[in-house]
Amino acid sequence: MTDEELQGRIEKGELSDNRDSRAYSKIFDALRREPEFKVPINLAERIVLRADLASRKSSRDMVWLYAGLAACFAAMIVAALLTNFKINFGALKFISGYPGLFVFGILFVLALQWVDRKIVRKAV
Amino acid sequence: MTDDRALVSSVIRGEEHALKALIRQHECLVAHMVGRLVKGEEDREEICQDVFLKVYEKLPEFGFQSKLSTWIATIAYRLAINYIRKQRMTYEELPEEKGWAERFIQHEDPGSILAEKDENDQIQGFIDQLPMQYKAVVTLYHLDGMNYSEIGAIMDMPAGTVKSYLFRARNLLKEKAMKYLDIE
Repeated sequence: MTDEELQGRIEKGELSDNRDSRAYSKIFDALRREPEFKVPINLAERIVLRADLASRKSSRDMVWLYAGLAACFAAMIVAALLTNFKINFGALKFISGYPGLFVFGILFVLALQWVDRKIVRKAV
Repeated sequence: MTDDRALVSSVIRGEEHALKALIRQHECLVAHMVGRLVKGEEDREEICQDVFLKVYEKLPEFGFQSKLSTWIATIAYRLAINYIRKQRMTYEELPEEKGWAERFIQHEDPGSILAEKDENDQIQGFIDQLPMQYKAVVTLYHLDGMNYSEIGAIMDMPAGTVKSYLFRARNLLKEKAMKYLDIE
């Protein structure tokens, strides 16, 4: 009998009376034995706590991110008003002639991001 | 699967008791994998926590392409392997050269054999000396009752390779047990 057949028989609980079979039987018993390592009893509570802290930190970070973006936007508007800024040079001059194209570009990039998050990453 | 879907939806909605239930349902699976691959009690606990935090973070992206347990075991396997690589512990791809299996069977510290009174503990010591991939395969198969395809999905290898690893691991352990243990 080959070792593969012998392993199959031991797995089904059929014990033959030879040394290989007894050795395999001991190995199978040891492999089914629970390891000594056990997770702490309060693992779930610890993780809930850490998840809560991480989520609060993430919310706080998002608040700072949006506050920073809003401040930059406000500063840009104030600077444009104070300097009497006009869109009349370089690429900005070109874009000012095609406001529809500019809006389409932004919407297209946003749509690509949405498809990536909702469809592509889920499929991977 | 339906229960898993309900559980996952509750966790995503932020229900604390659902997250605790998910952890308790899968903590043995994660402990088996991490306990077999990683050494050191503190590191094991830390990795188990990291596994469930990762599960919680990535759960909204989980689309039930596999069973929830398979997905969680995949995260546990990858985090354990990454940890081993970072610690520069002895992570080796499976040794392919001739004579490796013989060296595995022959090599044993006689003192360690005498130190372990229980035969089962001695065999646990032999299991600990197996390459990582073999340890992961025998753990998922014998302790967690997974089939070849599920293990293949977790370890990113074909089911045929899983079957071959399982056979070779058990065969090596048997040869070593016959050499060092008193089996009549």
